[in-house]
Amino acid sequence: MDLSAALQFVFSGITIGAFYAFVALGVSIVFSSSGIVNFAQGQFVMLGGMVAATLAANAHWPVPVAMLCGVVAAAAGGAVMARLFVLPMLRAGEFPLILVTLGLGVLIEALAVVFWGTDPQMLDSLLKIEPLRVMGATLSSDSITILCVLAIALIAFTQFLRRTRWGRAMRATAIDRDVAASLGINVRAVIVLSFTMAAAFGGLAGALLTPIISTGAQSGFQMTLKAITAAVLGGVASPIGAVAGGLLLGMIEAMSSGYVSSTYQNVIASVVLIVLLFLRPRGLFTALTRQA
Amino acid sequence: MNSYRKAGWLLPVVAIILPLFIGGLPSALNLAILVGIYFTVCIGLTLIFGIGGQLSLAPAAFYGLGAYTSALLSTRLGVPVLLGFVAAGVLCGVIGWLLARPLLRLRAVYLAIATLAFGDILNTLIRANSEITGGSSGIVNLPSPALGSFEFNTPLRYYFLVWAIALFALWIGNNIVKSRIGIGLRGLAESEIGAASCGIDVARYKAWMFTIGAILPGVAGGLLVHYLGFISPDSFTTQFSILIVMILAVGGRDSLLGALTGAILVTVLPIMLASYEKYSPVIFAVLFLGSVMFMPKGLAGAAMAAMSKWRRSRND
Repeated sequence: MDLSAALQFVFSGITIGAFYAFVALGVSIVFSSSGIVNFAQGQFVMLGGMVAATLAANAHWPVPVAMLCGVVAAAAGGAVMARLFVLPMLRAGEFPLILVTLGLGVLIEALAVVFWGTDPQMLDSLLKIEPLRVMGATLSSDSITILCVLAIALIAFTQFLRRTRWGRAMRATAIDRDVAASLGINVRAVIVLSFTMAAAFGGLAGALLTPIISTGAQSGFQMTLKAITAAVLGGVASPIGAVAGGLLLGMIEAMSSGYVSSTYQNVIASVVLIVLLFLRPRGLFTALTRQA
Repeated sequence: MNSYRKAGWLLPVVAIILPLFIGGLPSALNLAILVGIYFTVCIGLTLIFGIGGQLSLAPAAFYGLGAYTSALLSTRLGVPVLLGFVAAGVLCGVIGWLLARPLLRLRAVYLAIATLAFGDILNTLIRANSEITGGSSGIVNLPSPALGSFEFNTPLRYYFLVWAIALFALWIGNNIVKSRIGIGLRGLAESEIGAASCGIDVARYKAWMFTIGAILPGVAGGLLVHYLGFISPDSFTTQFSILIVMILAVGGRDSLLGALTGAILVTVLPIMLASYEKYSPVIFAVLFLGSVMFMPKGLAGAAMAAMSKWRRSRND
């Protein structure tokens, strides 16, 4: 077996996996605090990528500033979504809530198509680093960027959960919403915060991916499906599981694209998902992360 | 309930006499055919969705599976199209039944995702095996269905075929809603544990509703492609499943009347909004979101509530 080709597949798996991990982390944060699986999560990825690409290409803003604006726009979208659409529906039950997030996904996509059309947009790289070459395989500058940013964001997020007041409130809400509320935690504010953070992670992922794969206004639902797949792989209620699930999904896709056929990479990922749902509906890594 | 039964008789009568008024207008007839096809899909989904309270995003998969079954049988093997429709229904029913038990054990969100993944798999397989399915460009020149030497090759004839099938589906759907199974399903939607403790065989009832929710989109898919005369995988994407969810949410997801209301709305509204074509997806999305948030029983439910309120005020 060709070792450098195998390593190259690992590299591309890690890169796309890091992206999935970001988006899945958002799915998991929202699910933990509110019990909602957000079908609009992929739209924030699209929003982050599209805003950043538009500002950089049309307004000639520097790439880091454009990306930051993309993240802020996505986060604002998440906050508005939670405050105006999710909170009023909290008591309506699981089914209407899924429909609300689905409806918002459809609405955001429809607005994006009106605004941007359906053509994909490109974006310049955030950092131009010397690519890493190991045994004939190359880890590109964009890949290194996305991996570093993921690592920093993860450390910051765990510190936020451990050390800050809001982070602790979020963890308490995830364990039991009613008990958290009875202890004086403003659960509604926690839910808004979790949607905002999830959308920010999604937007950041979208902005970082656009230099690698161009983003189009209609790419959101595909992203949602990937993110939920990744989150389910790892266990949707666990942020660490979601990150692991994202990396695993990226790896499965890269390997099946490399060794089977790129046509079937989605099929293989979907089959893995369905089999997993049948066998372990709580996710692969739940037993591992339970103690953490 | 009484007015409901009357409405049940009204619909076949309207369906028969409607062509007297619109028979000369090809565009109106075309709309009526599409309404009939969407309605057939939605009858199947109302059982899963509104009455059983489960979110299945598989309609596109079964719609496509049925469409390709009858298209391939008729073009590759020369099977009569009407038999192809039957084969489409049977195949979708069998697959639906086989998938039902493992799938329906899943909670709402996981079911939605699993059915979405199922549709994704099917769509990719269709695109990838182009020597059989024609790949992304599909198959053109599909034959019209025929009964003996009578061909359903004009819009008017096709209209009657579509509505005969739609009304038959409605009759089945209506009987299921009123039968023990329908009552059992409603019980399921309220509380699965409660239903089970009342002696309802939860797994069997769910398998039933999922099977019927697979057969009807399958047949409707066949009806659509032989009407259009061509088939391509673009008609059977996730977007279609989401459209069906929107139809049911806007029309009213807990009654068959809601399915009809929604089906009419999604076919007629784009025509009315033709001059704002760019914005029509936005308007749809707003309508969908508004219905979910403010009219949980959809337009049909809101209309029924208004009607019974009016009747009560008249009786006072």
